[in-house]
Amino acid sequence: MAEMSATDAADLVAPDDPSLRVELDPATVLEGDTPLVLRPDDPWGAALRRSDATHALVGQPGNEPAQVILGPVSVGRDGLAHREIVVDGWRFVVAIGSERLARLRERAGSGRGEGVLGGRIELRAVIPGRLVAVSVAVGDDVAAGQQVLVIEAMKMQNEVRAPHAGVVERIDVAPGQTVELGMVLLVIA
Amino acid sequence: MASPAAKPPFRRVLIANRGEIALRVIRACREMGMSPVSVYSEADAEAQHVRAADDAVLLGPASPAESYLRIDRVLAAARQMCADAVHPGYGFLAERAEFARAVEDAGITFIGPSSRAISALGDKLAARRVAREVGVPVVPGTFDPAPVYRPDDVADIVEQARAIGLPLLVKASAGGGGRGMRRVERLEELPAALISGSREAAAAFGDGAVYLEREVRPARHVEVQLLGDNAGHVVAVGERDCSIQRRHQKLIEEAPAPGVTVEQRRVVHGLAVRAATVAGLTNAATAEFLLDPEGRFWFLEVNARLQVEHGVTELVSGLDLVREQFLIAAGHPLSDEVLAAAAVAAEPVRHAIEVRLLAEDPARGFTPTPGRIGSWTMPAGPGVRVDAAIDAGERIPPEYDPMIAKLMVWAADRPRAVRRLQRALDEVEVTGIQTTLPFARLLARSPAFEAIDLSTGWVAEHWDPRGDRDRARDIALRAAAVLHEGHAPAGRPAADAAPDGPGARANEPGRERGSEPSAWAAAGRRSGVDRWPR
Repeated sequence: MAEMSATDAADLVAPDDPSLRVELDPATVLEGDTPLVLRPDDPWGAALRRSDATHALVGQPGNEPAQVILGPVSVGRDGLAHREIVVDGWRFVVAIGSERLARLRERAGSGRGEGVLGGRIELRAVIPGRLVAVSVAVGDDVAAGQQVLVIEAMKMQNEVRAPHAGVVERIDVAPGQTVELGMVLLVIA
Repeated sequence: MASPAAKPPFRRVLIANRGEIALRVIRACREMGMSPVSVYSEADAEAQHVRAADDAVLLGPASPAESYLRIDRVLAAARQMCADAVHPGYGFLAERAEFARAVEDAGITFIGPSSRAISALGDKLAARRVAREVGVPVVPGTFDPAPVYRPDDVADIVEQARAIGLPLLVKASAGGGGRGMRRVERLEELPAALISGSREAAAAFGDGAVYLEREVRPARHVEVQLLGDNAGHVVAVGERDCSIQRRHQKLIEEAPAPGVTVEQRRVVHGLAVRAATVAGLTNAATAEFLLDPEGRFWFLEVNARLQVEHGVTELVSGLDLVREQFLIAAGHPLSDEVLAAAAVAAEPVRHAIEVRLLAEDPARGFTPTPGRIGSWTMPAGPGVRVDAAIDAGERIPPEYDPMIAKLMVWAADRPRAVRRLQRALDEVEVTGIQTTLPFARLLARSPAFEAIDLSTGWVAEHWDPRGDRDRARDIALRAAAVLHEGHAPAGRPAADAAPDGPGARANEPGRERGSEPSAWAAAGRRSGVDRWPR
């Protein structure tokens, strides 16, 4: 699983793919709930009869329209946008992020701690913010799960860890720099 | 004729309760020209019932045992505040004869039945005996405390259980709210059920006496609202159906009991008045019955206090039951209004339904969901009454009852009341915690409810939240995505909609040029302005 190959790379979503992944926060998730991936060609927007900052009305085929209450959005440590949404009295807390980054994260996560030497990997920012520390130098050996960078966002320090063991091939960022979501930070080979 | 209320019946009333019922009593005090005094725990320092009163006395820490259940402290507060009356509300000390007696002994008027009547009726076994003596049909079962820890008597109680019939219920004599209750399907389960039921009852009520009662099933729960004056005149002012329950606690109540004939109403009102009269009941109380599929009423118990669901009877009868409680307690005979309401109680011309909104998750077996309320909007408009004592941003403490609001509607008949209930429930907005709103919405729309297919087993037999929650979940996930800042709707050039992040913001002007700008996309942008840290 953790082994990287050319076919795996094709599995990644194209860099300009705006597909979103929405999933329920553990606080409101029940068994059987699965994440939703909304692709750019999804026609669902048409079901949205109207919306403002706090409410939306969603048409449902064969049903009365559903009243949707929208809470404020906050960005969590995970870099995802979290939002409380109440539909017909059912309360959900959802986490919204890009599908592409979710795939990247899964990929990184799947290599972590498995001790399998992966291939070359580009470590990308999963949260925008300011780079406050670079803990490694080019040529360093890193272990799976080792902290390599720290990004500060929303007054929180987010550690970026090596998804698998390897050698730091390249570092593209420096402390103090602002990093944007999805930006390549360093490369581990 | 001079109205008996021309002069306030009491000067200063201490309300020994919290939440919506404390606020309900405070409102009656205000309307009658009496000064309300609240008590509160540390968890309730900023509660509405404290703010709404003229004075408030801190009882102690959040735990009910250290605050609202402390008879000595409540009494000290009443004395300190020179109260000449104490209203107990429901729950907490409302049915503790010891509390009523302590209030009486302090020379303060207890707003409720006498301590003697509470004592006699609070003991369900005693109430069963009283009802049986005056020929009121009682649910088949035992009339004396069951031997719990005496192995020599087990054979005898098992024999009695066999005669009563299975399945049966072990019930606590001092019980309420289903505590101490055990369902027994097979005789060999009985000894263990007696022990565990008794132990739970002893822990909850300080009295481990339990008895056996046949399980009437399917059954509807029908109860009669009674008012009695100090001269021994007791009348019924209407009945309520409270069949929709979970864990033996009511979720929906309506008045009158639907699908019941005028003749059946007269019968059950008569049975209730007969049992209450012989028990010496005064003030406000409720006699509870089970209605079996053959249309027979079986006496269950008497609640010697104001009920949570008294509001639906008020909406149908036009009475203010709390006001009548004060007048009766002050020694007035039953008012002309009460007598007039009692005279037509079997032929009601309105229908009222109440939904108890609880801080519980109906998708997780009604587990409590204490926490902080986000937004809070209750329904309004014609025929709607809301009794609540909570507001946006306030905390639901985990120490107390999960009920956060009572939504009531009334209309000329039941079909219109049901439609009004559906409408009112759609106006409810509560965020921050999961509530039982989805349950109430589905129930109010269910064909079974419309068809008066009601029974105490309804929730266990019919409630399946999965489909409705899944539908709502899918809408929530999709709405979240579609309204997410930077998301490109169908047909929009991908370049206009870079993934989330600051980069997307740079494309703002280009986005305005996007093909087919739709209202939802514009709204999504508006609402998204503050979503991302800049």
